[in-house]
Amino acid sequence: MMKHKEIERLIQKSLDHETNEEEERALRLHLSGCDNCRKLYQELTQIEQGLGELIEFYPRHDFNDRVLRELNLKKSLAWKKVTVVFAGSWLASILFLVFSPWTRGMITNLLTSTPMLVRLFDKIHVIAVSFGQILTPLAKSFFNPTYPVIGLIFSIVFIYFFSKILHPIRKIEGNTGSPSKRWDLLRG
Amino acid sequence: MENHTANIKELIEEALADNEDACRKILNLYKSRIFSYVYRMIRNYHDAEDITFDTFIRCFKSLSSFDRTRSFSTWLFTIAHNVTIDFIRKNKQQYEYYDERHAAKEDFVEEYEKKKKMERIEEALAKLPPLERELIVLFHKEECSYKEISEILKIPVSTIKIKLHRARKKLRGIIHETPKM
Repeated sequence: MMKHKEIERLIQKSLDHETNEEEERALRLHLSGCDNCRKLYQELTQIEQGLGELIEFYPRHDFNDRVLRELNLKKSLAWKKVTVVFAGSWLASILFLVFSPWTRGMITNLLTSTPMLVRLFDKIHVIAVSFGQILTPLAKSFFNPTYPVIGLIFSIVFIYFFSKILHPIRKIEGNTGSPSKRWDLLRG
Repeated sequence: MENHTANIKELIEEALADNEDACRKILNLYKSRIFSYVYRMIRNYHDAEDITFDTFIRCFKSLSSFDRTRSFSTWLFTIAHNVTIDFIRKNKQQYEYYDERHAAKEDFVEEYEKKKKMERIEEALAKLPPLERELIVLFHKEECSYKEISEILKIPVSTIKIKLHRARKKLRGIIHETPKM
């Protein structure tokens, strides 16, 4: 008959999955006749089983995005795409308005086909002439070719910063440098 | 298992080429394991999330230095362990790694725990000294081998065995002491 201390060692070994057939047989034999050791074995195996079934915890749903953004791997091309599309549309519309013979023709056709629009246009024209005296310098500069370019640059800058506000970047230095401050931020 | 290993190696190669989808897949494969491990050590959701975050940042930034002959999960757990220890050292007032604190049970656990048995084990686990708790989690929950745990914790296998045996008995003792709900 093996000693209880020896059996306890075998139980631990069995939980480590390191017992051979002979040891396993000896253990079973002892457990069948010893209530205390059997209780110990059952409890330890139940704990082992329970530990294996413990639930998994998960970080917040945006965890992946935050990591990828920190690594600059996130497809942060959205603002670039928008900027390119915006710039393209901007240039196309400017060129269309300046060079297209359709523009003048379309406006003329529209005005002549609708008398009400002609009257409205006249009124706007009168108002524009009235303000003309005041707005002449501005009106002149409006047709300056640099004006659309300035507008274009402004738009790109605006879209860039707007995208940064929408997707703020977390700096890893900030995380490891001052944990207490980070806690305050996270805990609100 | 072989497929999984091959898959990981492919993902690592792709992640090294800055492939976002590969990085995302690696995150999806390991984030809950790393987060659960860290959470069980720290017992604070926000801090555990920060540590997990830093773990993955370190992992991806040093991915080129990863020895492909080694197990990726062991390497990742090693990083997580080191980041956790660094964090605990920096926050000694809140955390005492070699102390017997962390008995407090948080609402977060209650929210997710459904089984009473699991609750008792989780509680008992929290009462274990951190090193023993770490051994139990790595061996029984994460199914790491003694060799892998030895690599992660930089402790000899013989010491791990002794401490693990002691931890199991201690865990059983704590569960016995805890009144049944």
